[in-house]
Amino acid sequence: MEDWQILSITAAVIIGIVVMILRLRINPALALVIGAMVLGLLTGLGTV
Amino acid sequence: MTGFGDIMAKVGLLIAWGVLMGAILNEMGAISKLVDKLLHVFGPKGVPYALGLTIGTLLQSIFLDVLLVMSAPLARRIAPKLGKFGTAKMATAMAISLECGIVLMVPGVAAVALAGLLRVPLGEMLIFGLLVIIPTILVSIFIMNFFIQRGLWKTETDEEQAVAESPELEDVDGMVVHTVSHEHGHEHGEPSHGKTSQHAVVQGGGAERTATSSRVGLLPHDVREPGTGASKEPGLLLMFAPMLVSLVLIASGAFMKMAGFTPDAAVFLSTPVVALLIGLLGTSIVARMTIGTKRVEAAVVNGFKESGQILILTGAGGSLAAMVATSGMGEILGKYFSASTVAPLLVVWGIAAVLHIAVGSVSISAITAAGLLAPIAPALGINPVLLALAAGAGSLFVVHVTSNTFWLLQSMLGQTTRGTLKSCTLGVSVASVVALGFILVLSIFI
Repeated sequence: MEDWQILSITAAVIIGIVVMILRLRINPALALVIGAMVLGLLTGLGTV
Repeated sequence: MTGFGDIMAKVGLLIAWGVLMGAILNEMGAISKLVDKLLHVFGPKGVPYALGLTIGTLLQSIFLDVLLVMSAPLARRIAPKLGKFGTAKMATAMAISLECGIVLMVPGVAAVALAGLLRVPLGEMLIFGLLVIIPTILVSIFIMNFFIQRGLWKTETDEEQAVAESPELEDVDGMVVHTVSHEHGHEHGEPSHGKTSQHAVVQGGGAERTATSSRVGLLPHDVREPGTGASKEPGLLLMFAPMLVSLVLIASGAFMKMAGFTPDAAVFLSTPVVALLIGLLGTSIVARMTIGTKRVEAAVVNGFKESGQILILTGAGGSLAAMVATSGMGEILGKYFSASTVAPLLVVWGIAAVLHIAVGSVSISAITAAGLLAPIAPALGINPVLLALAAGAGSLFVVHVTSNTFWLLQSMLGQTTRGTLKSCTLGVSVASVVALGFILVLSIFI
């Protein structure tokens, strides 16, 4: 995977977490874990 | 989630001990007594500095929100004695010291987590954190007071007129939602600490209570203000002694390690988990003898409630950080850092600052920044304690409307949002930059 892909995915995930916390009012702890999972899936670390 | 487990393994127990100790200290009325004492000893002019230093260093075992909720009423009470800009000065002092303390001073939650992630021995973090935080708080409060007196603060627009204390923060962001419930619990549990100490008098107690009170009664402070009812509480020194002992143990452990003198028993005692446990046990013994077993138990229950949220949040921050690290982000950033000619400490500070402006939580951004840096820290060739401190300082930059602390300060100290932007956002940002300065100075020596 290219550098820029990882960088932009990470940036998108962080923005997503912020949106989850601020707009959707999801508890920060949940938002962080969800964000971490999405980040893992998108950057191709596998599903396990 | 290995990230979750990793950070819990390092800081889980420490955070739990710290929060429990804080809850018990709180139940004893330690904070209100301390503030009274400070006002007496340092007078109105010195109080912002004294309060700032105390909150920033001594009281960090108490979870930030609790500390704020407890000390804000006292700050408000002191404010009028400081003259026209009293509220502004007290609000600034509190904002700066609370935020600095949590990231730079062991056992502040973020400081412990930072040290854990960057593999900095906690004792080292404690010593160098102290070296940075003391001048930072003093200098930043001085800078802010200078500007507040010269027209920065406009009482009409920056302070709520005749505020009814509004604990309900309904229009704030989701970041606060969890805090609100938590804070409510506290408002019900302990409505203003002055009253609690009077309850203590009413509740009465055994012989040891009388013994304590007669000894404490010798303090000039209690003679001066006999109406506070504080004379039935244990002495300040006694209340804080166990916690100080544990901090001293941690620090001395680090000193011994530097000196290369490490007998087994001393190493055991200065292990942070053991040292804080000793402090916690000592605190509960003191509390049991003075406020009774029942209230100690209630405080411990409260403490466990609070620590649950903190632990989960810290762990979740850890898992995100671990994910960021394994996704390869760390290596990429590391490549740019090692290639860049910019001073790495500045970059660290900058990352934490950017993260903080985005994420809005001091602890989470500090932890995430440290998580990003942890994989590349060895490559940078800098003492990791400096990295930890720089990440902490950066995460203080621009505390704004996404921070729950911001809103707590706003409502508890009767400031308008505009005023809070000045006292909290500007004040803490000044502290952030000042802290960076001191860290850079420190980096010359180590």
